[in-house]
Amino acid sequence: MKVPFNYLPQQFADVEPFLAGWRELAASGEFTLGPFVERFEAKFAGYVGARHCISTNNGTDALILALKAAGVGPGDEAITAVNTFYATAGAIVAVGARPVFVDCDHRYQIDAAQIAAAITPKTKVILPVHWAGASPDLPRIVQLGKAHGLKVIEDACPAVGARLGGRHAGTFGTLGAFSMHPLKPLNVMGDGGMVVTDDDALADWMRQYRNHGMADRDHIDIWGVNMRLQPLQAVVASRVLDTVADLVRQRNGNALYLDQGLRQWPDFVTVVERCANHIEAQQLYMAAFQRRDALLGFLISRGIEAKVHYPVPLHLQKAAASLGYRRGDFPVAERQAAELITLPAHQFISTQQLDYMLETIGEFYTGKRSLTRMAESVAEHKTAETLRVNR
Amino acid sequence: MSITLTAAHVCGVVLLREDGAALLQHRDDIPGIADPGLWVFPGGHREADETPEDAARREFVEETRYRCGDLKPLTSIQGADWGYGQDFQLEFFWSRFDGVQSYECLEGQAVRFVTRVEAEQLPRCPYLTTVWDQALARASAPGLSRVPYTNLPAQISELQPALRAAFDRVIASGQYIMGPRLAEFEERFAALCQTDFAIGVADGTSALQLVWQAYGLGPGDEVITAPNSFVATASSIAMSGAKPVFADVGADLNLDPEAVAAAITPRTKGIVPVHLAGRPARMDEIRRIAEKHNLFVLEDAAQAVGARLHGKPAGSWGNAAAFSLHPLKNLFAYGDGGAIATSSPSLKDTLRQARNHGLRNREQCDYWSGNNRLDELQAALLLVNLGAFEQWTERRRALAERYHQLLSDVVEVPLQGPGEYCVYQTYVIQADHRDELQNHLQAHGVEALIHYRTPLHLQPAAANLGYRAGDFPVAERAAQRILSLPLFPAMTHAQQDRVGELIHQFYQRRC
Ligand SMILES: Cc1ncc(COP(=O)(O)O)c(C=O)c1O
Ligand SMILES: Cc1ncc(COP(=O)(O)O)c(C=O)c1O
Repeated sequence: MKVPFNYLPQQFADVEPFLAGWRELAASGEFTLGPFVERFEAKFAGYVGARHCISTNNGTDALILALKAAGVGPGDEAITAVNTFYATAGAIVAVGARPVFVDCDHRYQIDAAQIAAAITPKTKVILPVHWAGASPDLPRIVQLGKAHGLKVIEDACPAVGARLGGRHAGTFGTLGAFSMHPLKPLNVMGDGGMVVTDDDALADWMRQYRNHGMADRDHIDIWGVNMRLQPLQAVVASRVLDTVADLVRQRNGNALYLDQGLRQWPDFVTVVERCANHIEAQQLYMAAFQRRDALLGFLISRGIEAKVHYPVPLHLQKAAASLGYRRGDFPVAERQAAELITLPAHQFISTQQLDYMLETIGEFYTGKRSLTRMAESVAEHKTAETLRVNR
Repeated sequence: MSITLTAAHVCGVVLLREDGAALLQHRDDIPGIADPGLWVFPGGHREADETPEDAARREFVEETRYRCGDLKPLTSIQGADWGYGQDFQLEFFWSRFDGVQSYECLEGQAVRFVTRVEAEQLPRCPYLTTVWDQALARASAPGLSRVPYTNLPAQISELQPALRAAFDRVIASGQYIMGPRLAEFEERFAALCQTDFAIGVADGTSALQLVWQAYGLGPGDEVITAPNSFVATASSIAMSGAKPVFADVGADLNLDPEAVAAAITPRTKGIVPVHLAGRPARMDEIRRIAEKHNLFVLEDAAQAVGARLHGKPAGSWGNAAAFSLHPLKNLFAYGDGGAIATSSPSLKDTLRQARNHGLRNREQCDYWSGNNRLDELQAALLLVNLGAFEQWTERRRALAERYHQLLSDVVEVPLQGPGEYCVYQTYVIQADHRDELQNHLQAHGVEALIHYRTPLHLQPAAANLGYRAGDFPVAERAAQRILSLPLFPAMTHAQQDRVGELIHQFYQRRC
């Protein structure tokens, strides 16, 4: 059996609705921002409950734009998670500032308890990451930011659809950045991203900066950049946004199923704790496995496209050499980098595929292939099948 | 049924009656709705066999639909009893509403439907009436055929099947970021530029920025460029912390090599010649200067894919060249896109890595960098467009030639200089009474634009560079006189004649 990581051909099997939108776009000639982009922005702002959405060319640009808007620049420090995608640090460096890393907790989220210790007089912002589509303890981080007079910018790139206590990821801080990379919960057919904020002045500034600093076609107040979302992708994003709630539900169904299944082998597998008042976007389904690399090879040999996000934490990358960190500085992230595997648990994974993954993992650890079907043991919970609505 | 209204809000119901009267039902019961007239009506435009009323009505409805956008499904809740689709069209009318982000309302509550009888009794919204009257006047003007600045749908109509096939292939592949189509496009684009390599990037601005990032430009450095360019030419220098230094242009509106030589200081690191409007800059001389002073040459070829000087393509003269592939450029993607051409293997390697987070591979990050990729989908569509590019360019050049003949007796036309092969990405005339001429054309449905009205050294963003009016007399004088006329591959001779006629008419009336 094959268990693919990539679901895009399935997700976009019916392209007609998108093409219809594009025909309208081509006829309008509105290829530089314009109504298609504005409509998506308004829709997304409404979706997350923010006052403004400023779309960008991708999530990295969204982070750069947010950092710039917050006035982060040379000489400043930005505190962020050490277990994140390169772009989080890349964005901080792009504005001339220095990334200061903080270790993560057992939920793979930045450890809010350790942030205070990382604050220095140079600290300008706290940049928590919603890693893998789950969320750190944002209320606590926002509180901490307030106490120290620091803005909080959320890297909610992987977390469209995630909520804490009913509130959307990306709306706790002064600014929140999102990505619409094809493998994010809200995805487009290429790159895309956005920043949300409730601050009118920041929003105005960002709109101007992302489009060459233009006040209008003939007036350039500030040197700016081109970070625009493509209208073509805005059309895609608008439609896909309508499906996010469903796919998040389906992925959580799959995650629950895998959580239950993997708990059979507590000696080998550590399943992440799920917080009651969080909705995770399940961008990546991760668990910690003993003998990780051997298992990974075994899964791949059995047609399961498992991955590792990522085997080397940021502070041990060559790019971080000048930051002065070394192995041992972030023990939790380092251990997780050696133990975590990402399993395909997206909305197109079937119960058979889930069972197959569990069987294969069981075979690896116990040498036996036979296994109680998980479907029965989780029947009293919402099963993956019932959660898989509107396929 | 509950409807969530987002930042856009219902502020009324627009009714368009058969007789053309436009009615607006005000939305008094949503607090805070101010002026419903935040509405822009597009220029008059009539299809071949439409009556003026039909044309006006169509535009009116299209525009309203347009504004409804993603919220349009709401129209499906319209009831039958008030006669939708028979006597009048109903569309919802939205506008931005400050202060409220989302509005939960019940069907029929926030939007109050009105019957036709009720509608007749509603006051006519004066703003809409004016708009309507204007549209009607425009559409009824005798002999009017609108000449748009560009017509992309017509230009690509024959490519539709190929574009569709390319699209389907990418979508089915599941690889939307940096796949085989991008690699193929880069190869073909390099061949077009006669360079060893090309690197697809997110847009032309990023192309310029990435080259400077790879070069290591920074505070204390200076780069010489033209003041009559698009802002990105200068902002990409300023972004790195370096100082853009302007030098005046010559009669060809491209950098004057003598002015460049005069602007060189010990801090000068590079030169950015701009091939403005698809006309090659004097690269032979500029290169000689650069070699003499050991300067890096980054061609801003954003407007000049396919242009040549002495047979050598724009983009192959400098150390690197930046291209924009925006839909308004002569080779284009269907959204922002860009490319860098270079023959330096080390620069190529750095740029490929720099556009993708500084990643060596998925797991190794050698240096921090951003995300400036060209979408796989855009690369695939660009490959299709490349197939038609030569034909488009020939067409542009033929139309330019025709314009020369139509116009050279009344305005200054952009003739080619010796050894130049211009691609006429824009057709820029220089004219007396330019603003009035532009208004005259505009009033008669001809879209003419100005690239660019304010030279870069006089922009507020350049305030701290210490320039002032008078510093670059050629560029400044040109800024008062330049006008970009519509020129696009799908343009008809009749449209061109119309433009010629109107321009002649304008000058005849003046004297
Ligand atoms: C945590 C995090 N930050 C930033 C990004 C960058 O987003 P993008 O790929 O859209 O530039 C990503 C996704 O790749 C991410 O997962
Ligand atoms: C001369 C010049 N340079 C740079 C650019 C920037 O290209 P893009 O719009 O693709 O960012 C443009 C296009 O507008 C241009 O005309």
